[in-house]
Amino acid sequence: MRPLFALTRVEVALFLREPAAVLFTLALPLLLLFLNGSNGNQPREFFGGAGVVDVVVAGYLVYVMTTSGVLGMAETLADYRDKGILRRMRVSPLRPWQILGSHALTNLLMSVLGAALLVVVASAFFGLSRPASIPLVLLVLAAAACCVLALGFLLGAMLPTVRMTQAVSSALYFPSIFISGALFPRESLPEFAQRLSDVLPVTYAVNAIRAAWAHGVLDGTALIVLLGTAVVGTAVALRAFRWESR
Amino acid sequence: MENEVVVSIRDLRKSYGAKVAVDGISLDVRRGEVFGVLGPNGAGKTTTVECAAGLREPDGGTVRVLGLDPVTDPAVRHRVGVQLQHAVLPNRMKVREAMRIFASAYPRHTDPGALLAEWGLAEQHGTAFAALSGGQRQRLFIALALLGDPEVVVLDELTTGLDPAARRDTWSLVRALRTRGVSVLLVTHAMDEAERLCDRLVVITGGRVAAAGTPAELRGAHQSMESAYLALTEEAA
Repeated sequence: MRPLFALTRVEVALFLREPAAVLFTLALPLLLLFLNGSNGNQPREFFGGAGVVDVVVAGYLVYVMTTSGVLGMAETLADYRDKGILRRMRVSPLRPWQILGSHALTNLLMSVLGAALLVVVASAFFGLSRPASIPLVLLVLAAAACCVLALGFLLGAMLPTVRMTQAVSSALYFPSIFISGALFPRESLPEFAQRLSDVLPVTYAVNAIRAAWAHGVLDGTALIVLLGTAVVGTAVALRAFRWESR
Repeated sequence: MENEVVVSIRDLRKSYGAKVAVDGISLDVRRGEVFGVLGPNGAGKTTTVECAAGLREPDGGTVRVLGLDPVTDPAVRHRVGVQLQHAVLPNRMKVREAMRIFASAYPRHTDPGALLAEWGLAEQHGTAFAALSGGQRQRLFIALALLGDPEVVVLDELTTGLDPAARRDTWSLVRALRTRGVSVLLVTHAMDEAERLCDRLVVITGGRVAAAGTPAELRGAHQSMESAYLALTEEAA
């Protein structure tokens, strides 16, 4: 376990030294909360009785994990492979699970940090409601985190070059944050966008978090989609993973 | 123990698709010697040492490092240090962070601070990888390869891209390794480097061993190592 922690500690430090990563993963959701949450959190018919802050925070939680999970994981793995960093680690006694695990753990920790910041600020200043069921919210968040990390791992494993990885992960990432309800509440999207978003795993994450947070209800379909994506994604990624480009 | 073989390669074969990279190479590295693998670009040198480092599985032949199969027995990695051609680290990773990561992989490791001081990097422990000079990067990779106190060190194109002063400094570091009793498998395309550093060497062309022996034996009747080497490589071409 020691190499896993040593690697993760350094990877977290590297993440925090990357201004763009910090801005988009940690700072942007807070900024959006200030912009969209300043009119209070009173219940609205439009959101089925939920308040604006409750709705946007559920989405931003998914935005944070999708940004670090899908983009962060995929691009770091592709970059490390392209530059030969993975190759160098491979000839040391570091084990594959320690190397890959440290990237998953780093992005998970950054998601947790982003989520904690968001929930603390939203509760303290914007009247975020208390979750109807904390265990259910945590369960759904954990399943969603596994799902996005698996997607990032899959993209980082399958695609041959950094450029291709950036292109394909962007093609998944942007719809995932724009039409899933992560950045804009689902109710405010046009009908066709809502339909389209049904094929994106992160849409289920947003819906399940909202259901658990507001009503204490477990969205069973969503849980199956999230965990199914996590398991299948990880299995395919492990088979496809290559340590060097060529 | 004097003639104990630490790296044994027998009739190694490796192809990438239709391209044959290594076509039946055999060599033995003895304990405590600097053994050179010399040859032009594309001769199969890197593939040979990649097989020795366990990065690639041979198509044919056997590779034993300290008596173990480097592909199937990861224990080899605790006892072999490797410096790879074109290796880099993340730009923002600091020298001491790289040392910490790689040190964590060994149950027992050399003191990273002492190692950095020994390789002239004491001042650089807080420097990001991107800010290191070419020579400093090479010394860092050697220090990383030595963290586990290895019995065998593989050095691939150690001085390629370094200026003459940095090359000479690096050579004295390789000699220092030899003095410590470490066996070195040195890959190079530079004749002068092979002649100065190696106890024995093989010349590889087109995936085969064209000649083997001490630098003096290889020089033979030729005026210099250079003309001997050119004669060998032109013969093959």
